[in-house]
Amino acid sequence: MKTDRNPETGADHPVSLCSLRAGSQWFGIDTRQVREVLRAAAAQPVPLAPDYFAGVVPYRGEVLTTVSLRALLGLERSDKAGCVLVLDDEDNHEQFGLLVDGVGGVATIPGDSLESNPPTLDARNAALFDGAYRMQSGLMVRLNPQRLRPSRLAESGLFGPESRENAGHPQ
Amino acid sequence: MVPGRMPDKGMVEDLTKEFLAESQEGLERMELCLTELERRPGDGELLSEIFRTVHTIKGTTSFLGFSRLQTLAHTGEGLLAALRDGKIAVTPELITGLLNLLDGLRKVLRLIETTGTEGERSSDDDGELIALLVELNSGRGRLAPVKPPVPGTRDAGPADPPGDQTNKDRTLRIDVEVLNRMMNLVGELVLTRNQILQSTPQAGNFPELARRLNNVTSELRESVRQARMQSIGHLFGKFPRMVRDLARTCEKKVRIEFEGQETRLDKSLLEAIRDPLAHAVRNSVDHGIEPPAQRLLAGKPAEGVIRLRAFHQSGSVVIEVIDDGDGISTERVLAKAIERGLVTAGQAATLTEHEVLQMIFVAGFSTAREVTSVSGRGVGMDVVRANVDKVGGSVELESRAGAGTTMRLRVPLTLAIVPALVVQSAGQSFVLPQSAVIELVYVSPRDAATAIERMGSSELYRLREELLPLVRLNRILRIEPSPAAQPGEFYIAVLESEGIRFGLIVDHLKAPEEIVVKPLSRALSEIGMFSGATVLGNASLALILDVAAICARAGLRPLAKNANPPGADPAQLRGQATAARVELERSMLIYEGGPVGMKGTGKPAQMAMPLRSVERIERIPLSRIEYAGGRALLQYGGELLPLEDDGAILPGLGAAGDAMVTVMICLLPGTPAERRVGMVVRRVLDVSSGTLLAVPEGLREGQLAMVNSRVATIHRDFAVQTSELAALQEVA
Repeated sequence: MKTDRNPETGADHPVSLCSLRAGSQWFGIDTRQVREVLRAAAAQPVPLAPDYFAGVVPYRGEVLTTVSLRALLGLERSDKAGCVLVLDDEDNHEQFGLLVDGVGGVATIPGDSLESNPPTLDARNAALFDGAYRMQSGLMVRLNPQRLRPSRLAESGLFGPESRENAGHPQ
Repeated sequence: MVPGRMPDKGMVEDLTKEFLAESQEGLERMELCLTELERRPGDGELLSEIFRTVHTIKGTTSFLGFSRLQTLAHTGEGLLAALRDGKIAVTPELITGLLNLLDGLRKVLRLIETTGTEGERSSDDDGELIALLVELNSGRGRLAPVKPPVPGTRDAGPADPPGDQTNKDRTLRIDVEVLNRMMNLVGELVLTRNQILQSTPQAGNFPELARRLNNVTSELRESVRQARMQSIGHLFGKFPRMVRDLARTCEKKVRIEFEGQETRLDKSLLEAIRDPLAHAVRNSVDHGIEPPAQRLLAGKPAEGVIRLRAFHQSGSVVIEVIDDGDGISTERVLAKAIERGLVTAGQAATLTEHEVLQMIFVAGFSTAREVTSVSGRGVGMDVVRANVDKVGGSVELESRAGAGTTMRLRVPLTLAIVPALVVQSAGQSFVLPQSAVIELVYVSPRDAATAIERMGSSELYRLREELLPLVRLNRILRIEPSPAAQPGEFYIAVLESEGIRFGLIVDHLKAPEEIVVKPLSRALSEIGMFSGATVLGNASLALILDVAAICARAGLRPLAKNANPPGADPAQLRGQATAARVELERSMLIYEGGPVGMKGTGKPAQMAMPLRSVERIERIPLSRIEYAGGRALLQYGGELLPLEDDGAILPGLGAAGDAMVTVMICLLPGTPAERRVGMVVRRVLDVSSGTLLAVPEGLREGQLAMVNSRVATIHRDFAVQTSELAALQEVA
């Protein structure tokens, strides 16, 4: 079953993806949505915030809220410094960071080769993944910045129930 | 979107955008000219300006295909032509008619801006307006009185400032000079960057490059700041029309005058004070200025004057709204406050005039005898204050009975820079706004074990005579204490928020810094504990703590609240808080002053001062004391401190240049503006607790207290109000 979920990407136009790693899994994000990659960035943790927030990172005079991909995938917090991808969501005027373990390179892939999520995927992952591309080295899961927006993650209620307890929502 | 006459849709859109911005600006000028024209009907210049605006709109609309606008503008142009040719005369009705035309044009412009069309609904019919204009043109308009527009009921509502976000507010006109300078600076920045990329930190020219980068950056920042500054005249421009309409609705005669229109202010701040200012002006017209007949009876000209005055004062911009109306009657304010249950009659007797005036800012207060359509619904002044508070400003009110009211808005020049204190807890840095910090206490490792006292689960610290509830920052933020932190020494930051005082335990204090406040994303600000973030001098980020939120999260409430039924009002609470404070003021500083009542004779008297009122004790050389108008003055921390020398100590020291004087810097009670005074004393003796005594008959110089089984006199300015004392004894 071959589908292309992004209407902006014409079916036969190749897409260029920025590859990134969390744990042992490789992911890809459309390069048009990546503004910048901050290497070895130290995020300042925000107390009381849900676990999937890596913290805040200074970026061009602003304070960038950063989401940890490892935490979203349910992986342990890593001690090593990672990379922060600055992602731009133009529709919602929201700019945020995504903390990952490493960034690979840019891969160009035919736009129509995206495989949809398997039905067995659990709800949390299904909420994050767009589908996957078959690469020679294995599957590259496509992430959609739209689905990673901090405000959207908070609304979905799927992530970090343990931390929600502790965060003690005042209302 | 637009009925296509031209093939290029994008170009039409661009043209439309430009047309909207230009027309809105033109209409704004026209509004000013119209109100001015009413005052000077013979001014041809003004008339030409108005004519030009309407003519331009008519011309451009026919080109862009907006037929509804064209018809309106055409009718208006006909009327203006007749006026210019002297066929009809300027009357208030005519001006109102033209203002209605202006509103009509604005309404259609707004429709085009939001929907892209001129509107086809049945309510979008201009028939009535056109008929009115035609009637005015025929000269019969004077016979049929035109209803003045009532602000708030008008659907067009362009003169209604709140939420008036048009195209104009989102665009900014910048002097080409400024823009050119910015471009030059950016060019220089790029060149410097190129050189730095080719250089290495070891290279000989590197320090020079770094210096240049520093210069270019600060110049660039300054020019951007300049570009953001706008003269306050932009804001004042809409008031003549507003005042005119309001005055007509209230049947009053009011003139508005401006001063300091060129005072410049950051655009975002200008936006922030727009509503409060409009509200203040509205209040002045409605409540301040009296009806003409009443004014004449009071010996004032029938026409009232509202003056808007803007000027710079020590790093902030002050905007005054001054009216020459009736002033605010403190009796009426008090009566109303008692009626509304904001204060009790007993408390009312002890309030100063200034305090009474401040009651106007309490929510749900309005002194208007009757509710009018303009104001007087009891919402307002509290909103004004809330809005100004939000941008770090303040509002003051002054009133002279029969002579007028002055409302003073004070706002900082720029929004974002705040003095702050950086603290550390569990290895993480946090920022406290300096305004919330009262004092800092260091607890040494030796005292650490005994300093904190416990009552059940809560921790307390004995600060002088007061038991201070403690909050541990790392606990309230649920962060693990870092293992590296030394057990033992810590600091207590004594904070105050909304009348609640508490101590915040932190591991370390860092230097105070001027910080630039950056907003947090919505997801993080929803946590509610942080009001923003900032980049510190060492380039790391730190979160700014919201002191009120810490209070709420720690469950701290004003002490007096427990004794109150739920729903008790804040003013009442404040009254009780004062009573609680009086209780604590029994801790006294004992000093040797001059003999009371018998200047220069006898031995020095033992004096007492409530410890709370003493801010500092300073030893200063006599030569630093200056005299003006027979008063001794001291320049102290940037302010001019009047010195009280009741004991005639200063003359006693003679002219010996190297003599030292002991001065107690005291905060005068009952003055919210924190007035300080310096008390010249012979020497400070002791701190001790004392009991207040009732004043014996015939002794009016001060109040007495029993301290260490000796009688001490409390200076009259710092005496506890007798009524409060009575209340206290009742409590005890």
